[in-house]
Amino acid sequence: MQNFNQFVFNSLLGDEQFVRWAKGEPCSNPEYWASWKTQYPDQGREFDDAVKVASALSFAAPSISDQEIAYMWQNGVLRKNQDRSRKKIAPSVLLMRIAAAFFLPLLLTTAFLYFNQARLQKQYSAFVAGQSGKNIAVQAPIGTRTVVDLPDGSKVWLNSGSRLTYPAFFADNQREVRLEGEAFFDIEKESKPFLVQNSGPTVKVYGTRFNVNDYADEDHVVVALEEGSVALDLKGKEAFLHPGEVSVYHRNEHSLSIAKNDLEPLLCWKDGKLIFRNTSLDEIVRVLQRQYNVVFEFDDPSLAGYQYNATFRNESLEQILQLLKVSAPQMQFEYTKAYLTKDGKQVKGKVVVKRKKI
Amino acid sequence: MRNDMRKFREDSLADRSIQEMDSSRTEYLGALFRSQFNKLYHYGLKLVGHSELVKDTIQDIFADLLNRENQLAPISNINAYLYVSLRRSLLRNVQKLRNTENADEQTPDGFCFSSEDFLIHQELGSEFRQLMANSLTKLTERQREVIFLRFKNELDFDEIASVMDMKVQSVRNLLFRALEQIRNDLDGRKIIPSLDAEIFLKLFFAKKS
Repeated sequence: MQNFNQFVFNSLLGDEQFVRWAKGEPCSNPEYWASWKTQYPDQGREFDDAVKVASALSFAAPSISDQEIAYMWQNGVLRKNQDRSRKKIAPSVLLMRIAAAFFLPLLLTTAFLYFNQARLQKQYSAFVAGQSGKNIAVQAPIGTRTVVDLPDGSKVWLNSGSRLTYPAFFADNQREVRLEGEAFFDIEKESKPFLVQNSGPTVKVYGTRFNVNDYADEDHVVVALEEGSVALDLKGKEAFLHPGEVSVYHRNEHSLSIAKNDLEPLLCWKDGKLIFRNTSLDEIVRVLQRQYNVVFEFDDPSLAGYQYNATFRNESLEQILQLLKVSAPQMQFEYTKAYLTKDGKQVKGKVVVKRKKI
Repeated sequence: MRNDMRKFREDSLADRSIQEMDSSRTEYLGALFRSQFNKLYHYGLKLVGHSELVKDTIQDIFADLLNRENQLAPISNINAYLYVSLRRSLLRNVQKLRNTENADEQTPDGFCFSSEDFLIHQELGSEFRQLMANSLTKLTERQREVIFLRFKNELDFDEIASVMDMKVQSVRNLLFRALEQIRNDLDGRKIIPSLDAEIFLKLFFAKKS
């Protein structure tokens, strides 16, 4: 019974509405509590005690005025919050700031270069203009071959005894070089035309591989086209070459002929080979003179017309002469090597072609 | 005023979660600050007895709430949240304060009550207030806290459990044991022999009207 009484007491005080009612505060069901004791007369003592305790536990509230609370909200909470959000930087914002720190010098450099573009351009053009008058000449000594790299990236193989003249800087509208002798050109593709001045028609190309033979001791200029296309400018008239075609310009007659031909004999020199197909000894001799820096003399001029088929590869002059002799037993080659005279003058080597006495 | 506060709490606070608040959150928190400040302040004052510290801490808690935006987990019960964080912050801050100020100073027990803490019942006189103060002093600190939270701040048992970090059943046991003790004190002293429910009822209804 004691336990049950205590349970009633606890239940009443555990009930929020009862406590309010007991303290005289508004509650949801005052009638219920007012009639509670008549409904459960046995628990009257518990009820009275619960009312006593609840009403006794009425605490006096401290008095912070509404004005002070409003002031604390305005100057305490809101201002503190502002300070705090000013201090805190979100990671994404921090990252952006770091990025900006790196970006700024880059931007300044770019801006500097951009706004000085005109000035830099002017300086460059002035430099080029200063250099444009200057030409560079490359000579391949007799008996040697030379490779020349041009400013535009093109490559030129100069055959023995040939000379190439080109500007230190190509002009804005064209690339112009001058050739004496023989050269093979591998020209970089560019919008500016590449011009080869020679004793025959000017060769005009944009990007090709071709050979020009303009030795002064030959009476014609031969242009052989390996790939791409080539225009020959003959007094304002243009003739075009297709790959595999060879043009021959006769200097004396000022005539130009174009025909398909085997290019190998014409181009093989840059690989150190000499190929002759039904070639007269007269012609072979001119090639050998340039290649080996010797002089040939025909004791019997009728021998000059003798025709040969031959391929030489990096052979010495003695070996070549030996081979020529073997294929034509009636011929005899007397070879005197180059030497220095007593007073220091150089005398070229000399080959005399004779008919063998039988 | 009291009536309005309760209405506000029942309508807006009990079922509203912070996540649901949008641009008006500052307004909402402002209203919450004004309506709850005195209760929180009273509780904090009883807990650590340092008026300025309590005021500062309550302001910090609201500044924190404003600053959270919506990025943290929603707070399901804002009322319990306020009491929990106030209790934690105060206990932490007061420890700091004591460490820096005066290590030798003796810490008074929390939730001490004097006769001034109770409303004056004109009919019952000041002896009754003294009786209540003495009766509460005999309880443990936690018992006094649970009584305060329940009868002054009107938290429900779930809220008290989370504030005091206890199980709900333990809160009930703690409270009921304390109440039983108060009842015995009131009975035993027989200071107010005429006190019974009828008198109380008359007394309070008279006061109200």
